[in-house]
Amino acid sequence: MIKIIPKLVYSLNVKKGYEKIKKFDELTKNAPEVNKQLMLDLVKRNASTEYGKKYHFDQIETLETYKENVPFSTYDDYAPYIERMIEGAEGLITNDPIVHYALTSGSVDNPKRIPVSEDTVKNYREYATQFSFAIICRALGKNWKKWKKGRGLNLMEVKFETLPNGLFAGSISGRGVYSIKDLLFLMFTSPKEVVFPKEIMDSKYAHLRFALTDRSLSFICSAFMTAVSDLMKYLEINWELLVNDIEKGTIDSEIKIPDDVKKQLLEQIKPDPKRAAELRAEFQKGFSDPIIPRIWPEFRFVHAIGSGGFSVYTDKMRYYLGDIPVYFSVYAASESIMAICNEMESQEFVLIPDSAFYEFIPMDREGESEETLTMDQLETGKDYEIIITNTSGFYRYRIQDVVRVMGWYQKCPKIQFVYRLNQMVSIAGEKTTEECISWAVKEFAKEAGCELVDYSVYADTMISPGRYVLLMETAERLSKDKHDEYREIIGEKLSIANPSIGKKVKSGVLSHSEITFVQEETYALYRDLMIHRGISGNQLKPVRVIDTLIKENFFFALVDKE
Amino acid sequence: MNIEFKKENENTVVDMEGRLDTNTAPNFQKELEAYYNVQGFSLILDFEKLDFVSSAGLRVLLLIQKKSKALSGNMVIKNVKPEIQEVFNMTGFSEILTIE
Repeated sequence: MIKIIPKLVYSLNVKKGYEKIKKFDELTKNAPEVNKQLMLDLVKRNASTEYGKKYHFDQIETLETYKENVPFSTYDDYAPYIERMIEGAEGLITNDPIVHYALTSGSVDNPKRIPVSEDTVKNYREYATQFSFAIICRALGKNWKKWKKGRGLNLMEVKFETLPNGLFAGSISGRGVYSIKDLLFLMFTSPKEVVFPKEIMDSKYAHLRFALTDRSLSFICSAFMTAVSDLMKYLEINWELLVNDIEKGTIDSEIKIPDDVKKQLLEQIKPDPKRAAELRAEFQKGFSDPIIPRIWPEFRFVHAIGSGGFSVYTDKMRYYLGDIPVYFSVYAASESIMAICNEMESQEFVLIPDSAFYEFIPMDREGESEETLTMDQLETGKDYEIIITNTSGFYRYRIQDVVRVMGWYQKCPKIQFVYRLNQMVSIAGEKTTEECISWAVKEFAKEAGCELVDYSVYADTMISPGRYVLLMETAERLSKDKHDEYREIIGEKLSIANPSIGKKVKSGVLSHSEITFVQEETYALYRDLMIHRGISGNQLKPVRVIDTLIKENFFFALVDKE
Repeated sequence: MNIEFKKENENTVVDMEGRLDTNTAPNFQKELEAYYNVQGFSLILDFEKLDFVSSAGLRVLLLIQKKSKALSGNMVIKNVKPEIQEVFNMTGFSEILTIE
């Protein structure tokens, strides 16, 4: 019975997903017009709001008048409205009902609270769930690799705070999970006590404790690949403890779970010596052969954001997955879901024309002009800053992302996230992106023959001239004697990734780049610390740029000096 | 790293000597498990003879600190050498841990 129910739930989602794909295919045939019409509809719907009156939305009937009347915006432009909305005011920036406030992951000190309308939640649900499951189902086909639609392991937890207006604030991915709360147990292995944690607990243990007992586990889904990779590392270290507990039907006393929750979890657990013996036999063979297909024979995919800055974690996951594919999910933010993969393993995302209105500023444009382009005016291979008008009351909003046009799906651009404008490092105008750093570090690891755990970049302007310092954690400690050689390699790779660095080092505008290794487990400690401070594990992104004093102090205190 | 346990009133005092790093942190955690898994535990970690704490060591300290919250326990660290105190300050641990 238990196997039939998830199959029915997923089949229904996939069926809706196929309908969504059909609709999407129609929309993308006419994407520029659909997208422009969405903007006109939003403006009309919100003409009577305070923001709409301020910028004369009632006079907007064309793209040109929209651009003339409405200025670019940032979060700070909306913050005073949002403060009032949280106290209960309505009709300020949108007339659509706001159902949630998304806490952004970017800032530790003062997280932003992004209003989320029911329309935005619907877009997330229909694209990130139904559409994507249909794409996966279609890709896996009908042969032996077919997805049998067993339950999955969902790592997206729901931790909300209640605002004065009675609405919840929390991660946008958590809101997506919350919207299917009644179906969760049918779709996923983790019980509600784990998905809706009231207190801090050993959540990796808790997720695995239930997922491992289900031999038919089909997939893992998470907001970011970081969490999936961390989970598998935990399994590699702690499998004996987990298997012992599965055998005896217990939860080891060293596992931190509040007593009342532990009691509820134990009521759902029975000793399972047969499954424990099967798992033990596989774990004892080691992890050098991919472990996931051996312990979960029906496992078919991972569904998580894992491209760009996350790719180091995706690479690690291949070690556990073997040839099991990854679905790279969506290109999204708290403000909107913007693009989606329409193929398995593809790292290119098709813009969703009915989710937000998009404008673009070419990155190679000289001068100060801020004239924007629409999607039909973009060129393949070029980079653009993306500006969105969303379905939750943000207009011409500078999300600070730069995307690259990789190709086209019908009349809709396929894009890749390239870097965040506020994460770009520039000491002397050389403008080094996350993409450059990622490439240089990976090339370094290849040449130095080391396995990369994580990395960051720091613009060191305390010396003159300034220099790039690459901080890396490697799986094995590298020889101190070769430091000069490593320094040369990273300098060379950075100069290839961004030739402007090479030229500026040669001409003395920049000092030679430096490489520094941090102690083992430093990046894991940083994540532990952020979670301890209340940041949701769903939202933890890799630290690519050391851009605050807090990060600077933390990472440089933990440099491996031995 | 050498660890010695002694009882002082209701507190368990742990004398630590050497280095709390990647090599020693797993064993340190294991040896302390019996103490920090008890409701209302009270641990005093004496760092007088401890020379070094690495990221791996800090992770174990953070784990015990979390346990103290969950189990209404208490962990105090005392006699911290200046170089370790500097690491606590820089990483933000001095705001999390109770250091005397």
